Parts: sequence; C-alpha cells; structure tokens
Amino acid sequence: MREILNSLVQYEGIQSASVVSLDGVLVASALGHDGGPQAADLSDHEVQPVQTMAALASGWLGEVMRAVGPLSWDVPYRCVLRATQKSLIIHAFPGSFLLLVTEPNVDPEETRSLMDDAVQQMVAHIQASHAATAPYAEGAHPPGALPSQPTTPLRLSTPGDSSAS
Amino acid sequence: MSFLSSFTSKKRIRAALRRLGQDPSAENYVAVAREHVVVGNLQDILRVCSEGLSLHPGNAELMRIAERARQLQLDSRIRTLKQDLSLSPRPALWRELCDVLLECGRLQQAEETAEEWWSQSGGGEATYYRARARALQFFNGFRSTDGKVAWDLALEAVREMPGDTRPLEIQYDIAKACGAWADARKVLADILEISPGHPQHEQRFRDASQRVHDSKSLRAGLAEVEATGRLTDSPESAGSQSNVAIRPLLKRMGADKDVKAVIFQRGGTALVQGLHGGTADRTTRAVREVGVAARSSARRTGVGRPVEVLIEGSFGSLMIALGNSGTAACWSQTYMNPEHAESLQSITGATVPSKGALA
Repeated sequence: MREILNSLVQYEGIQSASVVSLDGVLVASALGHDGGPQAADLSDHEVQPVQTMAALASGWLGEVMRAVGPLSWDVPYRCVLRATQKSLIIHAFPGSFLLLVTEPNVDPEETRSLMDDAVQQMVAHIQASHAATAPYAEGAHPPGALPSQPTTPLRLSTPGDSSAS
Repeated sequence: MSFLSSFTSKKRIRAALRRLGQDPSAENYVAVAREHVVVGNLQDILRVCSEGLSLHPGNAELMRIAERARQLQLDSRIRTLKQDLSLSPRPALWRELCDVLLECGRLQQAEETAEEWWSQSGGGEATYYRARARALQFFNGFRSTDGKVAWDLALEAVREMPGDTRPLEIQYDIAKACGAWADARKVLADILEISPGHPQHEQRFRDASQRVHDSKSLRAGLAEVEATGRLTDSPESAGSQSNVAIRPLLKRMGADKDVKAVIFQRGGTALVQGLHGGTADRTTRAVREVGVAARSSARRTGVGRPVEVLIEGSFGSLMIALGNSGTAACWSQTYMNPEHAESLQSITGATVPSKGALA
C-alpha cells in the first residue's frame, strides 16, 4: 500500500497521500518532499499533522454525507475541496478513502486517473490479503470447529457408465 | 546542457521564431515559450509570454507558463537572498526576502523569516512584517486567532516605529474586515495625524464615521468572521450585486440537458433553476449545508479560504462555488462541464488558484 502512496507523491504538487478509514483513523500515508517521497519512516512530528488532517477530512466527508442525506443520494465517491492554500481530494472506497493534499495550483482533474488507478490497486491488494488470510471465508460451507471424518468424493452413476456399480 | 543539445535547442528556437514571424498566433507564442523552457532561460520565457499575452490576453497556456516561470524566478531569488543573509544579514535583505515570500503566497514561511529577523536584530520593521504575514493568513483562512495576533503585532509595530502608517493600515484592514468600525475610525484618526490631508484616508475616515453606529467590538467581529467564513466588507455581506444579472446566466446553464439544477444563494435568498417545490427547498438546504461544512472544515484544516467544492456519486456531480458574492451550485447528471464551473465562479466571484499540470 505504501508503494502505491509513494508513487502518488512523486508527482509535483501532491503534498501528501493517505489512506484513511471512514472513522478518521490514518491507515498509511506518504509525504511528498523536495528530496523525494517519504513513507516508511515518518517520525512522530511528521505523522501528527497527517493524522490530524486525516481525522478532519473524515469529519468533512461525514458532514457532506449528512448534508446530502435528505436528498436520498448515495454516498459520494469523490469529494474535492479547493481552497486558497491547499486542496483536499477524497476518493472513497469500501470502508476507507484515499486522501490527497495538493498545492492550490494543481487541477484536481489531473489527479482523477491517478487516484482511480491507486484505488483499484488498493482494493485488489485488500481483496488478495483477505483471500490469503481467510481462504474459506467466502465458501458456502465453512469448516467446522471439530475435525470431521474424511469423505470419499461422490460419484453419480450415469446411464452407460461402465465403471459405476 | 551539453553543447549538442544547446545547439539543437537554439535551432528549434529559431525555427519556432520563424513560424511566429509568419503567424503571430497564441499557439506559436506557446511553442516559442516552450522551446525557451527547454533551454531554461527564465527571462526569455517571461519576455515571450508577456509579448504573447499583450496580443492574446487571457490565453490560459501562456498565463500558466508565465506564472510558472515567475515562480521559478522568485524561487531562485529566495535562494540567493538566503545565501546572502547567511553571509551578511542586514535589514534590506530581510525585507526583500519577506516581500518575495509574501508575493509567492508563502505566508507561513514569510512569518517565520520575519520572526528570525526579529530574534536576530529586533526592530519595528521585523514586527511589521510579522504582522503583515499574519494578517494575510487571517484574510485567507478567516481564523480569529490569526486576526487577533496580527492586530497585536501591528500594535507593537506602531509603538516601535512611530510616524509610519503601514502598521496602522494593517490594523485598519483587520478592523474594517470584521466590522469593528469604532476601532477602524480610531486607527484612521491616527493615520491622519501622521499624514494629514491624504484624500483616500479622509474618505475612509468619513465612511467609518458613518458606520460607527453598526460597530462591533474587535473580538466579536473576529469571532463572527470565523463563524460565518465571510468578511464584513465583502460584497456578499453588503448584498450589492443585482440578482437581475445572475438570473439569465442561471437560465442558460439550466438549458443544458445534462444539468439538473442550478442554484444561487446570497444571505437568505436563493434562486433555483430546474427544480420546484419541496425538492428545490431540500436541494438548496443541502447546498447551503455543504458550503457551511466546507467553510468550517477549511478553517479547521488550515487550507485557506474555500473556493470550490465538487461532489461526485451515482447521483451525478454537484459543484459549489463559494465566492464573495454568494454561493452558486450546479447539479449535473454526469461529469461537470468546465464551462459551467467557470460560470459558477464568475457569478460568485470565487477566485480559483491558477491551474497547473502535474509533472
């Protein structure tokens, strides 16, 4: 996930890229600097503003959802707040959202395809990790708590099948 | 740049200049400017852009290249000034560095530089720049603490540099912006003592005197600016713009098949195109609440004054422009048409920062 975020902050004008849960908890982040992206080793004083921004952005997303709720609109998947000093661009996906903080002169439309790709990669990554950790989670018959007797596979006899007795 | 690449660049510049001589179109000016970008000569880029913009005013690409070149030029100047300051710090260099940083819009950095200047040598001028940087942060972000700190710093600068009207002008701007007309009048009286007979200040003094009966305390005014996200002297508060000019524009936007609704709000009044009855009321309320949420979130996150909000979902896209003259919104079934976005900005007077491409 950090690699995906790192690839985003390599673009000039993107100050930070973060994945935030819908309740405002920072999951991962990368900062864009003059010397290149930094993601893995953010110190406490670097992480704190990002965490604050993540929480506040989550709050804003919640306010927007509440505001458009009476119109029976679905949850927005992309929200952009352009301001004089920075822009916040949010791209929501199930349970979380990708947050970009950009310089004010960056056109948010320029980030659309980048964010789409990043979200697709992240969703694929999350699905792959879910599949790896819970291989039976999506099966119709999850295994029982106690070991069961091994069963031989059922063979249905069909007319003309000589092997069936 | 190697000799070979320099030679080929010059050749391409000459070819672009020949094309420009035959046809002085905006595209050819852009082509010449881009060739100069490859060489990296900022003076030439600015010269070509300036010439092109005088013939084709408002060309977006030329403006973008010129703005970028100007930023690079200022960045280079900032680096030079910092090097000079590390060798021999003196007031003229500090002053120029603060001015350049303020011009670039790097307000936080300008304030930090002024603080460094003040901690090294003190003096009213350093305090004045601290006040100016903080006042600009207040006008951008509408945070009352910024306004109060800027006011106090300006007061300190007034004590440190008597006879200079600049810190008093900062105080006047803050008092006027938050409707503290009694304070504004007092500051103007002090300015007129220093420069008697100044026609602009006299006019301002007469205006402030007329509005003193509406005056708020500075603290209350700053709190109101923070709560509403609007300055008292903005056109939106004054309600000076006529709805008559806005209605045809809303109608024209509403005629687009893709547009479901266009809304303009100022104060308690709303003009709605495309929706009727309860749906219009609910949508207008939602737009207002999204605008209020954007203003309060922008203050909390410190991203400056909000100018535009875009929401996209299965419902389509909703763009809201938040300007000095009001709030305008366009609800579209698909992606937002850039022309509609520009129309919203023109209605509300929202100034979106110049757009640049990702590199």
